Amino acid sequence: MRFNVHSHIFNFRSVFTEETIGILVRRLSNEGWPAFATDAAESLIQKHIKAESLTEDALVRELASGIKTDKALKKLLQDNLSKLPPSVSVALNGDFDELPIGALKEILGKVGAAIQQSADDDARIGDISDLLSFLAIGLKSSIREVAAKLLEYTPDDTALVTLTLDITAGGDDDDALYQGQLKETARAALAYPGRILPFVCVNPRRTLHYERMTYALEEQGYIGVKLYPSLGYSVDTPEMRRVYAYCQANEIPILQHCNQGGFCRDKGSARFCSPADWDAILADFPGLKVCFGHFGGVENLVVDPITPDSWTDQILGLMRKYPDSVYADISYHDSAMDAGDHEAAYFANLKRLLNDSQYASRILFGTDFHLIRQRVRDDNLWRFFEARFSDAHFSLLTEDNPAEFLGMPSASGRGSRGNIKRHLKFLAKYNNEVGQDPAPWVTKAITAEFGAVSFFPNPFGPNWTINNEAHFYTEQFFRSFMSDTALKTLDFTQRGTLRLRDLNGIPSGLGDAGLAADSINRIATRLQSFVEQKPNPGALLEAGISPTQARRAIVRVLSDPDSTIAAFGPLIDKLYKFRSENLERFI
Amino acid sequence: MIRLKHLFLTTALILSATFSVADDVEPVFEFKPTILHPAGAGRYLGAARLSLSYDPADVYLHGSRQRGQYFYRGFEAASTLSTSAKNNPEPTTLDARLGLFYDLDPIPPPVEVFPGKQNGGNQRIGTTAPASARWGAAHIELAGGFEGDEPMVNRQWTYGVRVAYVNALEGDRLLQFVPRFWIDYRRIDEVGSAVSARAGIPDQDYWRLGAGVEWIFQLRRWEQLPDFAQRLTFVPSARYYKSTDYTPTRANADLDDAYYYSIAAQYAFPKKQWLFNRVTITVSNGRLPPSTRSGTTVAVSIDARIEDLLHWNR
Repeated sequence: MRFNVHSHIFNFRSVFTEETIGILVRRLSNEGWPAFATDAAESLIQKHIKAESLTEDALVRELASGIKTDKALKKLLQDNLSKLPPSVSVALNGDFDELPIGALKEILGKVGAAIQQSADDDARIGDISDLLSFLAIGLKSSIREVAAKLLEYTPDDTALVTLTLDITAGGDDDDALYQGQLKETARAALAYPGRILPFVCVNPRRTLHYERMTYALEEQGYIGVKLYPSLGYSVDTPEMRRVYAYCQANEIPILQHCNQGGFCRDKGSARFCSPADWDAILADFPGLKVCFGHFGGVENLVVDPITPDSWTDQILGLMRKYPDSVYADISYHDSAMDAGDHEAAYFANLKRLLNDSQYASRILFGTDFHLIRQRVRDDNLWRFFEARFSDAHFSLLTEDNPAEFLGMPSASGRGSRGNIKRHLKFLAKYNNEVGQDPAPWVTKAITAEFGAVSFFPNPFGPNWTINNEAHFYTEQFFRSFMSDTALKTLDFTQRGTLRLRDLNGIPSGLGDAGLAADSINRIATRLQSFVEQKPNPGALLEAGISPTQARRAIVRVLSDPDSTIAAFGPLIDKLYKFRSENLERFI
Repeated sequence: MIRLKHLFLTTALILSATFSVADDVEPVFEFKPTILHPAGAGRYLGAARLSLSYDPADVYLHGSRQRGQYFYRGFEAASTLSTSAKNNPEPTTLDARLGLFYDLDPIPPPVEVFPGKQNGGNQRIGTTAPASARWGAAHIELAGGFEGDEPMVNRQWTYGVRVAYVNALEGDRLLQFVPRFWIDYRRIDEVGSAVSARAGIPDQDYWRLGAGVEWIFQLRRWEQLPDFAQRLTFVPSARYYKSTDYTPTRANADLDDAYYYSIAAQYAFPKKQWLFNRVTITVSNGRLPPSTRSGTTVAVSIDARIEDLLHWNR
């Protein structure tokens, strides 16, 4: 079984707000995208961050229009008019709306190439289609959709470590947003059991960072902790040491961002990622497993020898000093793909390290999807690296070393570490909410740890499950409206797919509007009374929700004959607090 | 009578004022594209049926244990805008309401009790439904508002009492034959009237009795029917209006009473599609006050929600 230990499945809306979107744009800018592209991307993100997923074609059209009207681009083109091919000038003065998508993509490519030729080195632009693909992934409307895209590019027998991201201005800022990201990522782990292994991001600038971390690790299936110090915090503080003490006691691995780029709070905040700060911490927390993401920066590995005293060099020093603790991953090492001196030096360095027993078991493979998508697609990245290593080395990078770092059960019979056991319990607890059959390693490990557990794949996931009391009683209420055939032949999950128009006794906009409203109101209030009165003791309205608000919310769904019964599950769950919610916290 | 009018108008104003401050409930808009063919017009009209409803917090009679019986306030508006206003037979109505809603059926007990989260949930699912309802629900309300035809040539304030009854559609299929009905008794205060204008008489105040009855027949209740037939729903309905205190001029114009019959047939497509999820054909005959148009109208409408239309290209 293989691992990609460094990937992301957050979508933009789960991390960024209109206020923090600048951090993402700054990153694009730092990656070398010219101002006209980042300006157009920013307005596009601002416009669509909360909308439905856009197709890539729709994005092309919008990005092209945005670029066309960009003042920075106009000036750049004006200054370099003589160097531009006539086709670009003609195209930029034409009507984009009428052009087919293929032609638009070609124009964007030509603009990129023209800028590359005409402007200075700062205007490095790769392939504009990479930027579009990156935006299309980030603008997807759900984390699960992003996960599906990543899995599309990932070999079947591979598990993904997915790192969450907490960009907070501090205090209680965007707490609900961050909790939403954690919850949705946990649901993605359930959707693809055994293939998504989430890490919870800890940012001590958030007041409740410790509580969010422990809840994620104990209740939401998270197996590790992600640190991103360049978001503006030091790793060696009393509050961070509290985090390490928890991780040490509960066998939680840590992955820290460690290069000069990435998301930065300000220009100076990259210094917080220095591996040197970890010497004292590792001395005080023996056995704590820490992986330095990006190996301190690819720029130190594309030269021979490895840059002395660089972060990469410091990491190697820590590996020697703390042989049971320190790891590094080779994610976002795109500069090693230049087919020239950099590539040669990079692979020579890595092969030398993999042949050295001090480092051979410490280096891990990762891609940094979907941030790397600005440069290259994950499947191509896998192929590129696999072709340049021996089978033995690639196996170390993608199988043996990650398994040890993550605490996976080994073929030699070593059992799962605490973090993986908790993840397995999480999957077993929500066995009715998994999106598909679990990966083979899950079935094997669960059986070894706890005995056989049956899984019931459910396309609704946690949104419609018999294990949720709100959903359970909602289904029961609607049985009065179902046909005998539906009652006899459909199971709980299938009944969730029934639409109101498939049920008996729900008006579908016909007849006198007043009478139709009376019928709908009657059903809504009966559903309210059913869940409030009968599941002994009855459910209570959630704080801040009035009975009329609840009725109106139910009426709204009831008024659409195309609503499914499953649509009422999350709604009733949101409106009401059930007894079981006090006993078992729900993702 | 002036005092009664003022009472209703004041009530409507108070209700309207609460709309602006009660921010806990959002108004609901609905929209249906429609083609109308009024017999007298001799051509098809494009039309849009629009409705808006809003009801702030209700007062429940039995606290948190029985939501089916409550006092309510509300506001409703419905209109059909067409490509030929003068040929549009459908009225525009705005009503503020204050009433009591009463569900006549007890809430059934659950047939199973939530067992908690455990392995193998899907295996346990039951096939027993909670006891069906039998009696339905009723409301009684004070309503005051405005109604007019599309060109607003005929327009009037109205205020009065309305009672209504709806059957328990989800109960035994024979309950579909139980009629659903409403009756209202309203004072009409004319603001503009084409008939009065032509006759050279002032606008009138008078009482009007209105009653409507309908049945909803969902053929899916008969599972032995072919699949196509099960997707059909029929709604026959009838209305009657009788005005008193009319001047002879208007009574002679045959406007002191009005009949209206219709039958609607709706077909629901098997799968959820973009726009044409349901198509409804309605054939009606008669007159709906305050419109003075009378005759047979055929209307074809499709169900479309505002959100679907706004996101048609997604």
